[in-house]
Amino acid sequence: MASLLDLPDELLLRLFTFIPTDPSLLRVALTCRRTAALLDDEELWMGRGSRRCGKLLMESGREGPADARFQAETGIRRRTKDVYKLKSPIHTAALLSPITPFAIAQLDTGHWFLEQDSRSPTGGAATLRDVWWLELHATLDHVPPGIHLPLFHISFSSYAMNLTNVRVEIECWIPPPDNISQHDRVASSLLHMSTLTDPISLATSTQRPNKFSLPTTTARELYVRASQSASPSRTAKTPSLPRIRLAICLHVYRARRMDCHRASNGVGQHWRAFDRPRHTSPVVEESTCSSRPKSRHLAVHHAIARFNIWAFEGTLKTGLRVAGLNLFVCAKDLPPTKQLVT
Amino acid sequence: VDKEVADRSVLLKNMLEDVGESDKPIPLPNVTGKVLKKVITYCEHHRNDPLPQPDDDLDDTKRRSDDIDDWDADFIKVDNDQLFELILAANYMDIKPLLDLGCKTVANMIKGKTPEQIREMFNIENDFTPEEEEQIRKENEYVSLPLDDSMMLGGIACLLYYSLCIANQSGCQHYHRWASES
Repeated sequence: MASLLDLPDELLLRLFTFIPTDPSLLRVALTCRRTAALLDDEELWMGRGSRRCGKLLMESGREGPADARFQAETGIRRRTKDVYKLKSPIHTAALLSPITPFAIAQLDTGHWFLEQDSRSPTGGAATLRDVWWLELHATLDHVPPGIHLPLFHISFSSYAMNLTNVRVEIECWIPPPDNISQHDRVASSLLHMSTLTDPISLATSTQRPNKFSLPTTTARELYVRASQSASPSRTAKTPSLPRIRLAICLHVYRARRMDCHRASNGVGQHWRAFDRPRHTSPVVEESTCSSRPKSRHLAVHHAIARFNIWAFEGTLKTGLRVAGLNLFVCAKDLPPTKQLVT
Repeated sequence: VDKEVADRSVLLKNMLEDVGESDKPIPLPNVTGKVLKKVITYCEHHRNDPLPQPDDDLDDTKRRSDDIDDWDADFIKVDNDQLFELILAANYMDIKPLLDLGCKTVANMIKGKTPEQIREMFNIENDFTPEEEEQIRKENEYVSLPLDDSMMLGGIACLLYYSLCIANQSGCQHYHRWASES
């Protein structure tokens, strides 16, 4: 009987790049000495790190003062795997989507253009030249189990202020597994939630961050909707909720200035991230739902999240730049269960 | 095999370019007849696909393992021996899409398995000492909880949540309101 270890190292390494999660990779490392040694490969971790945190962040992790200190203390240069661990521990690990997979309305008509940008966390950005409205969306597959914070990287040049606001929308759904019946597939595919922020005012960079909140959507509503979808025949008198642990509930967003990407000449160009205060409830959680009346349990291992950024009030010469978005994993910040309910 | 099908293999494409028009057979010493038949089936099905670009490997967005189409999924349903042979043949003949299909299939088989299950599935001998195994676990402590533990914790959280939902009268009212509106 053939063994996986019959494959040469180069093929095993190629194969490992397709393993999406770190725990799965760790389990491979725990099988034998050869796989454990292979999983120290520099390129493998640079690839994984670039996908999660961006290549710039990974490279900067090996060149900064922290690395110099590490080198002085240990006499060796920090390995890429160590940088990866440093940059993406479980509470800050992020899925990074650069701008290129974004679908951008009017990209090919001269209103937007894509360019390299060394200040961008992703190394590139889509710049809005002139348009009256904008709409971008990106879909992240394989959102792993855990609680996640979305972080949009958007910057404004000093002449961008005529664009009055943008809105951010997040949808999340669980793809049904392949090996389930049609009934369960329908039920599972209905586990779909979305939420939308109020317009986010694009204040000047000197203004204090604005707070804005969702109008009505709460975690409870979303849970109940998912429940209803999973079992449409249930009556309102017996609200027995399925075992769902997926939520997309963005109660409050706030604008935050990212100092690390301040332009060297000091004019405009602050990378700004819209994120949530950490104490609010989660965005995406792992889901396990039961589909009644058959009481079959569907284990779902990942979700799909779609992010939209749009505005309908613009003007010429906006100078808006979108670098991409991060989905930060913060599984250790699990809110108390009660917070999910209220 | 016609040229369009043979051109799916970079190795064959280059060889054909080198020898020019010729009826002579091209030897493929590292591929068995059975596996070659399978490879040809794959190439015939994908004869009209765009050829992979040299910098495709650099594109991280293509490092996904769940984008296997139905025909490919059916094609790759083979035993492990043949799967590894296909991967080796695809690598030797330089057919990147087939190589990636094989790698993705193995990656999908690994997902969610324990080390012991992976060893059993892929015939890997555990040559670790307990100390070495512990060392690797220690080095990788940043990785989240193993699947089984996290799911168990999740189950507990769900039970708590479920109990709270039942107990929370206002929640039920909320549900009724939503249900009547929809």
